[in-house]
Amino acid sequence: MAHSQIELTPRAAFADLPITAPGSGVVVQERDELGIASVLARRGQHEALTKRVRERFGIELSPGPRRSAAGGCAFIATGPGAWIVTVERASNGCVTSLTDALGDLAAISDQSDGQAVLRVSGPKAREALCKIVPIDLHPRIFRSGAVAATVAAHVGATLWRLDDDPSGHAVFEIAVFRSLAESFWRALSESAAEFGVRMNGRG
Amino acid sequence: MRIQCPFCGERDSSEFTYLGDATVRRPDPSAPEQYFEAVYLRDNPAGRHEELWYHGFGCRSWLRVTRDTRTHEIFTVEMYNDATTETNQEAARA
Repeated sequence: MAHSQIELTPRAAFADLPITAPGSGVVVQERDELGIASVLARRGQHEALTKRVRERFGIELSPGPRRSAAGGCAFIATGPGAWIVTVERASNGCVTSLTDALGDLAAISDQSDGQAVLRVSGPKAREALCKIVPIDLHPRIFRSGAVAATVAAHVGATLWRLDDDPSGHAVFEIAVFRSLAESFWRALSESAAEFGVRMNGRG
Repeated sequence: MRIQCPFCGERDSSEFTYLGDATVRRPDPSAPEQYFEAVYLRDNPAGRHEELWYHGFGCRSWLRVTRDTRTHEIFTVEMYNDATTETNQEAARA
């Protein structure tokens, strides 16, 4: 009897998690198409890395916890000399090309399957998130482009704010380790239950 | 208690881990009595204290914090790496 080959299919981290309170106050969408890498500047190479990123990606790395993006690529600062880099519409080679461009100045590690990123938007996104992170998310304090490496209901998380959507509502993205996606989702969906939750791409 | 992290800004103390006295230096391993003193015999000052905190649920930096142990008032917070570099530079100049 021939052994049949096991077929592995990609499975999004939040794909099978339940929505207990359907509604439209909070809209979530998993960004499972993102390519994700961690980038750590090698010792003494921070300035050289800043220059290289400007030349190769057209991205100006501003100091402090900020998200800097151009052309579908974003550098999300999580600590001194440390970034999460996200690539839109990622192909399999996107982290390899990042390593080619920056590998001599930074330690780069593919996190595409290690981190799960959720986009949180809708009229009540801020209210739902501010119950589970110890961060001031007031629109004047946590502005577009702001980043916070923090903890969300005991789960280590990186939160950032994007530009508002066309209706003027704040849009956030939050990255957690994939293995903790279910715990994080339980906290977020409880927090968002009073507003109602809809997951884009699901009925 | 909130700590003003030089990278992240003001954060809740629950994001940090306390290590202890920032002024203790690792003694010469060939002197066990000094070692015993450095490891076990710590001062417990009431007042200003220089101490190390780790921002593990944040930017993962080590911080040197000057805090009043009676009131939890925090006077200064600096990156520990910068602080040790300065200390080393001072030592080199001396």
